[in-house]
Amino acid sequence: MSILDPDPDVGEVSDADLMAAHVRGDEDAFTELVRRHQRRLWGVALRTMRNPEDAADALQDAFVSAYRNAGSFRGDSQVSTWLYRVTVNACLDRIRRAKVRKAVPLPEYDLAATGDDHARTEARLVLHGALAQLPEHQRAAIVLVDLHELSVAEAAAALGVAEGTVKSRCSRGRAMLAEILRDGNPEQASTVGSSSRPAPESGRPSAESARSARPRPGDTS
Amino acid sequence: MTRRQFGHPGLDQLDELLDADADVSVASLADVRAHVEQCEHCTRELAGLRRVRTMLHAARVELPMPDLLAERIQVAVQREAGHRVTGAVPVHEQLSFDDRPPVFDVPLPWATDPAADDPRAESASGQATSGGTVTQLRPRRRSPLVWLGAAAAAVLAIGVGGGVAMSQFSGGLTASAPDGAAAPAADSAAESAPYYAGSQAAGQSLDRSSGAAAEQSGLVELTPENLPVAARGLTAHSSGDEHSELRSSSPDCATRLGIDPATVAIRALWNGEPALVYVVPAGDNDNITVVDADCQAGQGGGFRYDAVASR
Repeated sequence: MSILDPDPDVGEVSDADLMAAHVRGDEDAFTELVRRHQRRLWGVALRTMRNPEDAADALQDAFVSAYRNAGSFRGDSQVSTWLYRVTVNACLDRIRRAKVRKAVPLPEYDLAATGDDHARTEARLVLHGALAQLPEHQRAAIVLVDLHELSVAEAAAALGVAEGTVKSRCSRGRAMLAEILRDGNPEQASTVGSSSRPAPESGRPSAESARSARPRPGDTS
Repeated sequence: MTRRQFGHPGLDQLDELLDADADVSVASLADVRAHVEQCEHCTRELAGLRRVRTMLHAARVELPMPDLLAERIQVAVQREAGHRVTGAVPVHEQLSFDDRPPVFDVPLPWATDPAADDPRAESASGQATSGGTVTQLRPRRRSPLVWLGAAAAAVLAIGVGGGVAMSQFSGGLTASAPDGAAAPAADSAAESAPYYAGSQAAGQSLDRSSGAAAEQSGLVELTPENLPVAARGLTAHSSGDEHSELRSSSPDCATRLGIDPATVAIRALWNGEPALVYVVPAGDNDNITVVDADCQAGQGGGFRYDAVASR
């Protein structure tokens, strides 16, 4: 008998109960978890990997990993947070192992959402082009906090770092995004990120963007 | 030279000012705020950071997930669970060519409530809804064969789940099906040379992670349950010269079946048997015909299966 079998006395089964049922051997429980979370996690993977094929591979890795390691989930955080962590780790693992293809500007239809008008989709393309240029850890922090609305504490749990680190990564990342986007050059923003080698996680902008960001001598106000 | 060396706060410090929970009474932030209030340059920088935050907030949408990816994940998880996914279904009955039953419209798995695709509804409930966004996988930087493999994965996953009712019109399986049962596709494919020689070669170029069927045979496995999805995948990814090994130009067969001779057949497995598939668009539907590889439908053991799938 599955935990998902209809029971009029029980409302919707919680993620935690599904996880526990999966660990007990309920074959349907994990499938339900996948169904509930795969779309959100797809967004995390796509935004972190910068390439749809890699994102698909990473998301599959993540769910297989979650399936295997469900027993290690202690309930210290929400299941969703744990799944975010597994997904981000799968993405970062792939990046570290250099099993990634070149980052490419995502086509419109990868980023278009229901009801989007052209301008919003275009703005999103520009943003994602800029996002792709961030160091991976900054990008992951911004994806979780700014795009997926995790709290700093949740993002810290998902990334396995201190809350202060998340704040710092987000601040640096946003600052770098501001520099990249400052000149309002969508072309640059969406193509410069085509390097397959992410910038070092120093929080420093690229040389080019740093030049454009530098205050002019004499600008002391 | 950095902003700080010119006496300006860093952009990350400016960003902290924008945090709703920023405690600007903290000495460092108080200094930053005091600087910004009398520095035009930093005021502009702060505006830029605000713009970034606005853009990030506006980008808080759920991105459409390719349908085939969900199926692929399901197959991967099932494989992890140790399930052997074969897609095999019970052998169909022997029917003569003229015993063709009426054809029914087939509800497609992705033809679900449009509200299911509304990310706002989803985020409001806090849970993913069932049903998929119809996301056509785009022209590829990666070979479309990869997605054909993914289609095979979808075929397998849905083959296990079943649930799509279709009409069946068929001759029985021939003696090549052991004990009259539909052999697992992979085994059948392995034994079916030379017909599969070219397709086996094609299979080698498939993405190895895309699905069990693709790994083992290189051909999509079809069953009555998965036919609508699989046919869609086939037509989407088997066009073009580079996939000629998956296609079969057999105008004589099409003519015999009453299909436009210009329709290209696609090679596949039907319940583990070599088959040709014709998909003919007709308004909002696809007319799908599956026949045995020799186009011997209804002639002493050949099979034919017709269905209409709404797009």
